[in-house]
Amino acid sequence: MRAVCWFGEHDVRVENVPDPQIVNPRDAIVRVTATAICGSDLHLYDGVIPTMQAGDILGHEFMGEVVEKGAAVNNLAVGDVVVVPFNIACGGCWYCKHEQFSLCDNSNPNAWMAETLYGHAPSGLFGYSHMLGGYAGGQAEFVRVPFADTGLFRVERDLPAEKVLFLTDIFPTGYQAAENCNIQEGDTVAVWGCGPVGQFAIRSALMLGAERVVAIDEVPERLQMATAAGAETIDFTGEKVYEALMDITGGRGPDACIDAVGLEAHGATLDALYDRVKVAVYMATDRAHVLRQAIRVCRKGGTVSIPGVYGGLIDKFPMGPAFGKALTLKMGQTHVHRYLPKLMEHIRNGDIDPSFVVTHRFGLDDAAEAYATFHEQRDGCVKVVLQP
Amino acid sequence: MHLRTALEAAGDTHQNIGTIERALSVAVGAKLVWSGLKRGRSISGQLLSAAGSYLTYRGISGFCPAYAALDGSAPGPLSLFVSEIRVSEAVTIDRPAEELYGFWRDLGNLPRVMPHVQQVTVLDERRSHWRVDGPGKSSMEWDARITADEPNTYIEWASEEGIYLQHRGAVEFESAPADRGTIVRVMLLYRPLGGAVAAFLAKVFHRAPSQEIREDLRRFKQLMETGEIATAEGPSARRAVTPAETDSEDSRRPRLRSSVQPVDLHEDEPLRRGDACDPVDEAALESFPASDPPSWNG
Repeated sequence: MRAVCWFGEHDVRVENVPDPQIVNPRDAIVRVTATAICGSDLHLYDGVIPTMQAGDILGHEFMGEVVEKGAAVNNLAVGDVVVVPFNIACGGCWYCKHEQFSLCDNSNPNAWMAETLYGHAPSGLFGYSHMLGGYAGGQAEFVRVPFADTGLFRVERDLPAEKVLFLTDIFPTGYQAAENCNIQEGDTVAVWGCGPVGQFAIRSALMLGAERVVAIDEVPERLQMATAAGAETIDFTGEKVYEALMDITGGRGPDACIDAVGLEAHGATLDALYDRVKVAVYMATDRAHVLRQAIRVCRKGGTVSIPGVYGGLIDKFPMGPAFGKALTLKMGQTHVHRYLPKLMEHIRNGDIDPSFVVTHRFGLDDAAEAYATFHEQRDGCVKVVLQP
Repeated sequence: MHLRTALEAAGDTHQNIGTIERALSVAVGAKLVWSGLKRGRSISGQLLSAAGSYLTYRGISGFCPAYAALDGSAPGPLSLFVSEIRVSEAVTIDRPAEELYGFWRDLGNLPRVMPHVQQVTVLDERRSHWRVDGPGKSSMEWDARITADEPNTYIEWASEEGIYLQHRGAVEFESAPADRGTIVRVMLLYRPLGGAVAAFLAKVFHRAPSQEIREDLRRFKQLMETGEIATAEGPSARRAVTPAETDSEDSRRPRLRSSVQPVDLHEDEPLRRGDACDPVDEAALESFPASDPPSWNG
């Protein structure tokens, strides 16, 4: 089969690789009908996530049709159309039973790697480094899905793929980010990063009752998309973010701040430059400019919610302001499985049509061009869908 | 005496090297490891790395087994070669103790979660015969006897007299608080051939018993909680495609096979380290860090 493979920094290629096979009784093989490139795939593309190996198949946002299933998969039939959560969860451990699926104890065969770096291992992910499982990803024609009886979520065959594809990651991720803000009546939520996750965070915050949402970015197309959702916007190249947010909130600061950027934040400030230098000489791994800004501007007693990915160590973390203002910090990979029924309902009811985020479509064979387009934000690119 | 009491009574190794010597030991050791690694996979490179690792370990831990043997702080001059190794590892499994005990007490089950154990033959109610991977491609065999058996709580065993890998082991099943399942704790007390030196070299070459037991317990947990053992086995571009593996006529084919052969873990030969069955693992073994637990994680 053909698959998008990672070979190093800014080097992805479509290769012919063996078809996946059923290995365990709870496996299923899914024929991929649509897959997307995630903003977090760009961290892999930039080579900033450790334990990738040349030849790894990328991709963790995919849907398709069940073509084979293992002997223990009883709740699905061959031919079912399914979306696949990006994290792999066993359904049987303490964490899964408590709906903390992204913390599953049993789905990461390379748990020792993550334990060495993190102390404990989060769940395995599709196509996202060996430390996080070493599983082959979904930017391919076929994928082996472990624990398919827990992971696969059946959707109606007649729904357009682009309406349901983002249930695999970015819609629940934006939603969880907003839910983590514990939004109360009258709240203002500030969202850094108007990429796909930021877009879903903006819409989710409004669905969850936020009074105002302020979106921060520099790319005109992304800011327009945020405006279309009903957000106010700040272009950080033309305005000072702290001053603008303080002005918008009458000097209170946003009740909640969402960092939908993560470890590769860039900006023109002194601390952003400092981060670049530190990372360049391997004294830190993550650049946390957005996180620092969010902590500084968040109102006293407010919440900083972090759906953006961090991988290692950050320097100059403003613990004093976070402590002094008694902030709540919420973060982590998304417990996708937990949100699927609820968000599917929102899609069916017409509360949201996730396909708004798609700006580019490529064939799987053009993946290299697709990655470059997304990475360089060429041509107003916000979200790329690949068609196998 | 329960093994746990024996483990606690055995005490810890102490520090017997001064600060300056420790720093030197780490510095020289690190240099040797670096030189060794630069020589790649040659024997001399590996020996250099091993020696360097030993010096580094000695510096970091502050304990030199050779000094202990020489200055009499260890039981005798031979203690370097006969010292006891103690291991204790625990995992919490979200299943009742009865079920976990039941799996373990049927010793023939153990190779399913312990890939280095080739076979356990139950001889009678108490005695069993073990065959495990030895150094290189060899295997080691011994008889073991269950010396204590408290249903759903505790099993203790010891190797029979006269073998070169004498050991005592125990597994304890204890309820975790509230709904957290059962704590399974494995303890081992053994005298490896070559004592501390052999144990240390084993650690350098990724056969640290504590790490191996931790991985065994992880597989045990996976099997008990999910019914299978997680694997990332799957395609990658690291392996050439054979014509049989892909249908060249039409890559967009709908593939509707009937049903697949159920995978029965019970009948499967357990995967063994080094088996070339997982292309990801295979490739990972080629490059460091490998998906083999590193010695420094023990």
